[in-house]
Amino acid sequence: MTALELVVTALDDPVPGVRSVTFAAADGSEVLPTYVPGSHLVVDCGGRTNAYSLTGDAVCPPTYSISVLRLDDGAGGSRWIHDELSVGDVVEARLPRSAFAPASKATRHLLVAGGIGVTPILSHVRAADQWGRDVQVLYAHREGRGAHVAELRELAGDRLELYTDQAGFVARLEEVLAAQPLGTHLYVCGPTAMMDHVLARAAELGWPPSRLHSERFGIDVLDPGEPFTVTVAESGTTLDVPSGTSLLEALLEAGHDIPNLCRQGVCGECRVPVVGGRPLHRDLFLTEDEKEAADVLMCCVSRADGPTLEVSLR
Amino acid sequence: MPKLEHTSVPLWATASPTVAPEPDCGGASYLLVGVGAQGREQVATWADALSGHPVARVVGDHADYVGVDLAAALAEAQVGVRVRIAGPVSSCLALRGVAVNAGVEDDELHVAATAKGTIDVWCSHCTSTSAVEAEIDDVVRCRGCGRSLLVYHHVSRRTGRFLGFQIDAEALPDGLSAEVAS
Amino acid sequence: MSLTVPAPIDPGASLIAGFPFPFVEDRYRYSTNVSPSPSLVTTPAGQWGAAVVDVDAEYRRELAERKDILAKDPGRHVVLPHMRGAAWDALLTLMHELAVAYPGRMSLARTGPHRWLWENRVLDEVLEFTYGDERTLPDEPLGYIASQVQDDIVLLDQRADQLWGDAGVVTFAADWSFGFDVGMSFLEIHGPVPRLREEGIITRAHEFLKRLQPHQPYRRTNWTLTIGRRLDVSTELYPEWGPDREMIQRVDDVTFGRLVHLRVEVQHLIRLPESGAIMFLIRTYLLPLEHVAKVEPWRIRTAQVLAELPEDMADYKGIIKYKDRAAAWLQASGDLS
Repeated sequence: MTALELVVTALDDPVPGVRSVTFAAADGSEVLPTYVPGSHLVVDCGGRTNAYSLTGDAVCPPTYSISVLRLDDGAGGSRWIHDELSVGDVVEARLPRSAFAPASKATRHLLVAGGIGVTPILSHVRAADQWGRDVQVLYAHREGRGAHVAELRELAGDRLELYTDQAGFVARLEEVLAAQPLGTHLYVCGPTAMMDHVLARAAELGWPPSRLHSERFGIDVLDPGEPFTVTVAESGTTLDVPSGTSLLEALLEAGHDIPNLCRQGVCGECRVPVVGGRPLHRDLFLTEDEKEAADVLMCCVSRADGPTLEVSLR
Repeated sequence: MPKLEHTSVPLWATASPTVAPEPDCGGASYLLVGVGAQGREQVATWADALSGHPVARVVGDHADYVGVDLAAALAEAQVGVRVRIAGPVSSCLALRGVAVNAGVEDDELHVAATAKGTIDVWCSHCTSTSAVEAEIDDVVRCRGCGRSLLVYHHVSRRTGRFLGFQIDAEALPDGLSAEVAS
Repeated sequence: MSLTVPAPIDPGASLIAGFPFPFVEDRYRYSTNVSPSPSLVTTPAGQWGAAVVDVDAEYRRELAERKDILAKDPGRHVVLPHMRGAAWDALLTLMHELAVAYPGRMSLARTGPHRWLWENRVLDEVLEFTYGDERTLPDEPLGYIASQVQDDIVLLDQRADQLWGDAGVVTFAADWSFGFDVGMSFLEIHGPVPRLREEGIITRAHEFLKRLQPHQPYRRTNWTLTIGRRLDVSTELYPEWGPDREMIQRVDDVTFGRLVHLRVEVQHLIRLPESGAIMFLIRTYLLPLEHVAKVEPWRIRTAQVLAELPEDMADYKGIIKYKDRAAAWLQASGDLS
């Protein structure tokens, strides 16, 4: 089960434009699932799903914390969190997903944060403090809008450098990138242009890809897929496959006995012949040729490329 | 036997190496390591091609001593360094182990084997290592316990040794029979 | 000098009832046969799979054997320095799984922000420790938790789009050497196995493992035959158990059925929640053919699988010298009942 029901226990506006939200388990559990530092929480924000980095303790934490920047021109998720969400509200979320983990072999962690990109960086710094890891943190933010500065200062002490002017940050970055001991890994999170600059300069200064890690917000969200309808050729009946429900789940729910095992698109058990419509392949099992032939699909992960699909279940 | 490129044996350590890929030139500095005459030659060729870039050399005739110098150089190195190793296969495997253990990532490392020569075979039964002139699938005598070892297509990254195990373990010595413990 | 084979034990009803019979059809081929765990499987003899960790009647005996093996060969227990966090993660995760599966006999309680109290009433051990502080444990964390579960444990670090076997305690290896393999990538470790790469099975398994998420364990089974009740059939000890493959050809039928064991590994694949490392648990089960034969559907199916098994697979599994006799033996035992 990947679903998580959370209740809002606290709201805070630490700096203009940023809202921090604290969640506990809605069922009263004392702890929430442990997560890898740098993980993000996928939250249902009044109909839109958004991903927010977790900032608190990672091991059996009593609460989850996120900090959300208000985006007036976004799709509405952050506005909902700022304007609609209240203490006591229950929200649907998914188990945290890790896509920006600390490198275990790193002998130093060079952490670069820009604006609200500080959130997964804070998570890294917290873990580094607990495990005694060597960190160096550069945090660039607009004057008066540096979220979590006090916490970072407490955790990282003089290993934290703050920059409110771009020129100062860029100059210092040049020095820092050119003088890291072998074994250092770089992590960067912030506005796209800033991340592109940091990564480009690092590569130009000889950093190999294996030492560069970045978290681009809003991209690594689970794709529940577009809704479609599926017709079973033998009976002619048509079923709805809503967004977030797999074709396999829809068929099983309708009473069809489809062999299945991994539910991840790797084992090949749930292979179903396609006799109408075009499959949208999302599996790791079929070969490129088989995918192109478009006459079969792995129904546990794949969907329809278009509004309808017809399958044979004989 | 499965295709060697699907095993832990690096391509440059196989009996018939394919054309070596070009070494990466995106580093900020280069650490060139050479063992033996051909290793030194390769290091000189690389250094010429890299003129204008910061280059440090670690050369010698014995992989053990070169390994000590390499470890020392890596302890002082900065991110941006690229390590290139040239020498006989066994030296390359051993020095790759030194580099890996010092934290060098695969995309910071380039290896060019200059000759076959001896390889190190680790006896899984007595744990001693024998330096032998042999190739994968050969049978060699373990210098530690005397067993006949098959040189298996399996190489340890950390030590650079090939796995050896007793080829005739399933043959019962003459005149003996197995008993079942009651 | 005589060579001895570890004698079989009388499995007893519980070991047969809990045996994870591995064959789901009448022939066997490699596949990426992963499925979510836990998940109860009912068999003709009983059931298995209700929990991620399984403590059975062999618990104390196997843990004692592990201790002996490690005392003689500490090279079976390796934790590369960067895997320290993953080792702690494995310890806490396994303690939690044991406590969930055996609430009357194992318990894990939090006594402070990083303080925990572990009780194992089967081994009569009580331990209060601080997470992350080695001074509060009697042993290195992976070594300690390996003294509490019958599984072998390998921890894989995910980096540069590969998985690296950088820590583990493996005392019951089926013809491989963890001590040699430590530090290799997942693909390198499986390099020597025929068919796997060519058929894309290992690549798919690799892709699957890289996408594993915490709190969603998976499992798969693997199998072979072992002569004698021998858990440790590692490469290191090959000179000791290798000759059994010759000896077994000369014994009478009764002895054959007593000595040849169906060996099943239930492997768990778990993304550790804080370190992000992958924990690979290998839980080994041995059942002599004479007991496999007493469960009719098992007898028939095992005979068919062995008879049909391609030569290269039988050779790789080390059973080519006696698998046909095992198939015939199982066929024949039905005729006697």
